[in-house]
Amino acid sequence: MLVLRDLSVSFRGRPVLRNLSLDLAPGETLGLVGESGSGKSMTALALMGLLPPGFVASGSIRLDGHELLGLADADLCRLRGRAMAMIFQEPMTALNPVLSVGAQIAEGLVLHGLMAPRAAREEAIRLMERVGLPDPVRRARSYPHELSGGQRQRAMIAMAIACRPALLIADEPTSALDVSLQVEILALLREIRDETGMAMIFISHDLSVIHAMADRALVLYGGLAMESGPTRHVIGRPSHPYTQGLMAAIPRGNAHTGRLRPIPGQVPDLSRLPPGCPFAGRCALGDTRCAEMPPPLRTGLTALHCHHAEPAPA
Amino acid sequence: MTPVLEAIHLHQAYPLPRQGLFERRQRVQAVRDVSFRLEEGQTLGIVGESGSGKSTLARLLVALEKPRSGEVLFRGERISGLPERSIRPVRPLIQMIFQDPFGSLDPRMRIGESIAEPLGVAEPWLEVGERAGRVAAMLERVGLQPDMVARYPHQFSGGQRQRIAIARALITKPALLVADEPVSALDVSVQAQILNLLFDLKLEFGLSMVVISHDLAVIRYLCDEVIVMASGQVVEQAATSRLFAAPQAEYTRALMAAMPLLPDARPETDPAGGDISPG
Amino acid sequence: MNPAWRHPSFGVGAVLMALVVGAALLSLVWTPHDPTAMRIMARLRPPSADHWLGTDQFGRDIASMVLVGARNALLVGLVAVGIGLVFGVALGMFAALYRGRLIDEAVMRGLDFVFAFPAVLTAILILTWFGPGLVNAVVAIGIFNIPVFARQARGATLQVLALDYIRAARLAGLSRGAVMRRHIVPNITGLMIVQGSTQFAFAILAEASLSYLGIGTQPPNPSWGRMLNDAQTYLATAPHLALVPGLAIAITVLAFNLLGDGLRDLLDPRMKER
Repeated sequence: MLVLRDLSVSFRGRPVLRNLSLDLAPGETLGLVGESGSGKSMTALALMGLLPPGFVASGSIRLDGHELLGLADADLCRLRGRAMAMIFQEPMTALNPVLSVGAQIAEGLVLHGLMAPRAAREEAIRLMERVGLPDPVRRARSYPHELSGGQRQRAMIAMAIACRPALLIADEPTSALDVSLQVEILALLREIRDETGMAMIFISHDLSVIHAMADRALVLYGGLAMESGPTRHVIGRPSHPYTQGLMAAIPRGNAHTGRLRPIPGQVPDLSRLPPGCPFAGRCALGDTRCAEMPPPLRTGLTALHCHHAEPAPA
Repeated sequence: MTPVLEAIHLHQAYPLPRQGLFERRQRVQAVRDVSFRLEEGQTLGIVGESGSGKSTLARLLVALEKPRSGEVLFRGERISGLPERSIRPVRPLIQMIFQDPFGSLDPRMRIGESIAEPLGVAEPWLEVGERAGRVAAMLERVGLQPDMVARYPHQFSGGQRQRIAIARALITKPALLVADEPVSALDVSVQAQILNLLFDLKLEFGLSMVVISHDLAVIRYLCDEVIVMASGQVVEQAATSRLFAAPQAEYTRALMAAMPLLPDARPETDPAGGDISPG
Repeated sequence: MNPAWRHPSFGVGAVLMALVVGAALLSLVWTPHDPTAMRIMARLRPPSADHWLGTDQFGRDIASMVLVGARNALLVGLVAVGIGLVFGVALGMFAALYRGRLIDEAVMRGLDFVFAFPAVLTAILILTWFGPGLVNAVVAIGIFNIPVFARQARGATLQVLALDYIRAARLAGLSRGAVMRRHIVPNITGLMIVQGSTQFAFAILAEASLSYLGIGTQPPNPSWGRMLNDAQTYLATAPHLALVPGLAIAITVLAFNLLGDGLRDLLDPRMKER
């Protein structure tokens, strides 16, 4: 359904995202994992055609056979919200503070010509009930600031799924929430995905959240896909040195009984990436070839970009 | 033996904005009857969700705020509710690091100056050269190059800034370090560096620590004993191993159930990476 | 080349400012003509070799008046802004430090009270009480700058006070005064400079209004504001009368604004090397 081929994004000639390829089927969830500057949010913005000024995308993004890259903004507008929708980390800034929640949910339905205003209002109430907002009839008239953080995120989900998009992009949707709320929102997203059969791209820095949500995972670092494949393999049997390092850096016990093995160094500045593998400077296997030559793609149980590591045989 | 830090029936409340001109001001209870003892060299974890009162508690413990009632004792001496002047002598011994490494350093101060600042108050008799030497040694100890003293905070990454904040907190050789969400704002691959650094420094300096976090994994990694807080109250208090093996309170169990778990990775080869090292 | 000069607004602002200051200094030692000398026979002359910028309705040399006027403009601007800056920032920071307490309320409401009066009207009141004249006018304008700076300073201080590095400074044992001096003042300076450059424009225009009403700079001492206002009558026949002081005011205001913007950036270490 969604096919990305060699999607690259650059800013002033500097690559921010390099040759990203992926396929996504209806009902499937892809987890995009990455740290700051990995390019995971850039990917989402490129998909939605919402790249900030100065960023240039190349390659190909095909949604249901239609090429999105290079599409006029007016055509993209018709797709946004209708064919694909997005939810963000901060619902407070993503919702309009001076419009009632119900009106914002109904807005998309009317705008895309799917419903008359009155019917859309009814639908908004139904959607609010679906996402678990209590007392939806009254809540529909509330303003964003009158809702709690968890409720706002639910309202945003209702807004995103209103037009039954084929693709939902969720950019760190639970990172601003407490753990107990996080569990609820993740469960809600899973339910809705299974009900509607929409495809989902789930972006997070948190491997455990990706583990809980995604069928397949793609680990980004410095704008390059490090490792991708079925989530249980990427997280359970990582082959790429970066993925392995990331897994080893997550605390699971007490320091007295087992010390963590951190990845040395800092997350690189996007403006100072080496021409080769972005992880070269921090990798135990890194050598001059790594820094200078883009790593080749190797496939097996997982697919990875690395000069040294081999994926486990499929 | 006298504990390093003792909290006795601490209460804190903040006034809410007046609802009407003639209505009484309502108060919100942020910390409710919290008591504990922290023994020398131990690390106490305080875990809770947002609004649980854990950050308020942190500010009470380092005497940045005065409690509404109750006492904080440092080595048996009361430090709560005193005028600033009386607390000043013990300030160098009680330090804190903060969540946001972008907000905890003055953006207009060179980092060498920032790190030296507490020293200027605690040991004003030090000569310029001596002070610079202490700063350089401390920078090196936290994994940064001593020649970075003349740089400004914006020239560092989040992890490096947290190292600078730690250097500043430890330059006066404190006895107690309160760490409020020390790694929450950092990238995953950098969190482990800071956790290990804190652990090593604690052993090296013989520090007693209070670690505040919403992240149970961080608490489990660093702490010997844990307090679980919810809406300002202590829900459960236990040794770390016992708490994680057999949580007693309903709330603790719910919190643990909500914590998404990762399967153990079984890497095909030895994981890449060494130990903490400078960027 | 010094990096400061490479900052575009600082560079241009500095050049314009040098022009204005140069004019003011020059007028102390030399002017083409006596700026106060009237020649009824040479009224409203267009620019010529003798009178570079023409003459006004009394036959005074405009070029000479503009040069001397620069002195008054700089004096008015600097002193009025200085009064506002010093007292306003001190009061604002003081109020912020005692936020929510009675003293904060008292200070801020007191300043609101000053601010609520129409500025020029009150200046007239002050000047009729203490007598007209440049010094009194400058003080009156300065007083009206105080609440502006105080509000800005209070807001900026509150913002900085909420940051963790202030907590860290307190934990380091710094006294309240030291925290203010070392951490708060440097971090609100940029904002105050920008505000100051805006207020400078306000001060020059206010002085112009007061001079027009005859209670600012006293004739024959030339003032750009009074020149501009006097020119109104002759706008159709001698537009250069308005154009010249108008341009002078515009250049000076622009110089201050550009310099302010440039200084704010140059004082911010984040704008320097990365």
